[in-house]
Amino acid sequence: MRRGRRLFPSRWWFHLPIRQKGMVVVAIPLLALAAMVVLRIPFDRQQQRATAEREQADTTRQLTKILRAELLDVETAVRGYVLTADRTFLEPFDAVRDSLSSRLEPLDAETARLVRLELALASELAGLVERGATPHVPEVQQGIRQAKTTMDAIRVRLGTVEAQHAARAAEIDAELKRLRQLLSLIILITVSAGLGGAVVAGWLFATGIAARVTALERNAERLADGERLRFETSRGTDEIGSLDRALRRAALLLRTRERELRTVNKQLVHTVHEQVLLNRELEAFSYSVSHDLRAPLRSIDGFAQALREDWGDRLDEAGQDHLARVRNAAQRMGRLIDDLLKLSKLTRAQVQRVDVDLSRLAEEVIAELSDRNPTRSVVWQIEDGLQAWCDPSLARIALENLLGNAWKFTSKTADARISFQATPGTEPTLFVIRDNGAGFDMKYVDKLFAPFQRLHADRDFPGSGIGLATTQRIVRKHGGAIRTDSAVGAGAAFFFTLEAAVDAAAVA
Amino acid sequence: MTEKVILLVEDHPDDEALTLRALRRNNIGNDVVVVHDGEEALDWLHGTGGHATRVPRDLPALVLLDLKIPKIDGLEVLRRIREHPETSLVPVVILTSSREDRDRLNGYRNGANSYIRKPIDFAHFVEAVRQVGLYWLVLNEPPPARGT
Repeated sequence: MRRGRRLFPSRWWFHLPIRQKGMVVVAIPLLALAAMVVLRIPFDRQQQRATAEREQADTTRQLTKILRAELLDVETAVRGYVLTADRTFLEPFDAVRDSLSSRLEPLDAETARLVRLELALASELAGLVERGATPHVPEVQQGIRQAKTTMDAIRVRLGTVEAQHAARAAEIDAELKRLRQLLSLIILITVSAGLGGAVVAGWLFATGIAARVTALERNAERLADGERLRFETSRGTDEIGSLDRALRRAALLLRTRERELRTVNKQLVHTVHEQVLLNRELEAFSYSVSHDLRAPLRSIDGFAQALREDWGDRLDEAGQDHLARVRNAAQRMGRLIDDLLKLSKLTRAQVQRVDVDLSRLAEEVIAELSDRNPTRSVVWQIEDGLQAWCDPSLARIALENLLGNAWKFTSKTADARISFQATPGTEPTLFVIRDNGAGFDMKYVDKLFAPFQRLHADRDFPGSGIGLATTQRIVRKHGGAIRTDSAVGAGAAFFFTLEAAVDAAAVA
Repeated sequence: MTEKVILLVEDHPDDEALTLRALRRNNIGNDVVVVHDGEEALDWLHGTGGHATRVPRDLPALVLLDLKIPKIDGLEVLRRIREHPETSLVPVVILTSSREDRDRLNGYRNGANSYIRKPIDFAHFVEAVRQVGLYWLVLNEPPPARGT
């Protein structure tokens, strides 16, 4: 068992499809980042709120300070005016009197009331002085005292407000500091989590994908090099696991095929060897036949002839006839042996193809036939330029047999006609040799191409029955086919090709 | 001048009789020496073995050689005839049943002067022998004898 299996706690990772694995790998650091963002939101809000509150408190403090200074100015101005009745003292009071009452809003109601009262008292005092009252007038003195009392009350209240706001500001500062510390902690934690997550994602990628793909690649290379698979890649049912199993199946199949191939090959070698032995045996047999079978025939013929020459005068006509039959038989058997040897030699022959002008070959064959039988008159029709990719000497033997047959079987026909043509539009070319001779019954067509099978009596059309068997072997050796069409008394047509058919139906 | 002999190498008595008959029928008057196997043929030609008393220089006018003969086969006999300085120029006609390509090829390779296949038809055989006799014994001028 490998370390990895124990190291990784769960199998689910190896069963997860690669796309989801990728998502997991990307999601881990992203989740850490998102957590940081989400966690910051309430802190940010709280901080904003605290800051705003702090600003509010500062503003209020600022306002109370200004207010206090202005009220002091008002007190001083009114007192100066009371003492001197000089109007210039009242200028600071005039400057703030209208604006002050409008700026009292941030203050609590009681303080605002006191400020307005203070302003009313000041106005009242100023009015008394204007009407000619002196500082010793009891109403003025009472007014001054009242104003002072109010002013003191205002001061106390403002002081309290200021103190309250100062305390609040300090509180807020402390809270803000705490918030900042918390935020730093959160950032620290999420960044650590993000970094840790990235490391984990990297490790998951390395073990779950990269390492297995590498192992898979090495296995594939080993397979390509024809070696056995070695690297363990994949448990799990994800794509890599599937690939691995497919690879292993392929390797198994390959090994099986190789074994089968080796067996078949061995059998083939054996067969070929047997074939070679058989061929050698056949050759030895043919050799022996050509030598040993002919010797006694020669003796039969020779001594029959010697008998006729030396003792012929003692034999009557019947005796002479018997002797002639003996010689005929010996000679016919000699021809049979020769034909048999030719056929067996043909079986062993190799086809050596060149471009052959079949028309010219046919004309040569016909010229020979005419030379041999000068008394015959046959009308020949040979198409010009018939070409074939074939063995010239074998093609010649085939034409000799087919044209020779046509020649032979038209020997009893009055206006003998023989033609050699190509069927237009055939590939490979379908050649046809036609005659208007004796023909034969298609019932016996099966026997036609078998060696030593004859459809005509020897006395009518002599022959050994080897010609068509030879021709068929030649055609087949070329990968071609031969068929025939005939009727008794209506001549015969032989169709053949000398190349393998692209479409097997061409000749069939 | 005495007619030179013909050496017939033939193991089968029928063939021997028929060949002799064919020669006679063609009025070929040369003496015919018949030997029945390859060893005897070489002994006769080279004056060895059972023919040690024969003068080897007295060469035959023609050797008619069958290929399928006992002890030493015809092709080997031919090879040794050509190898031996005394007999290397003797006309040798192979007279055989075989028409196998390799026999013909080896026959000519080993230095045969002609290769005749014995026909089954005796009339044809007589004609063949006639032509061989006419050519090799009458028409053909033999190589000069050694030492003259």
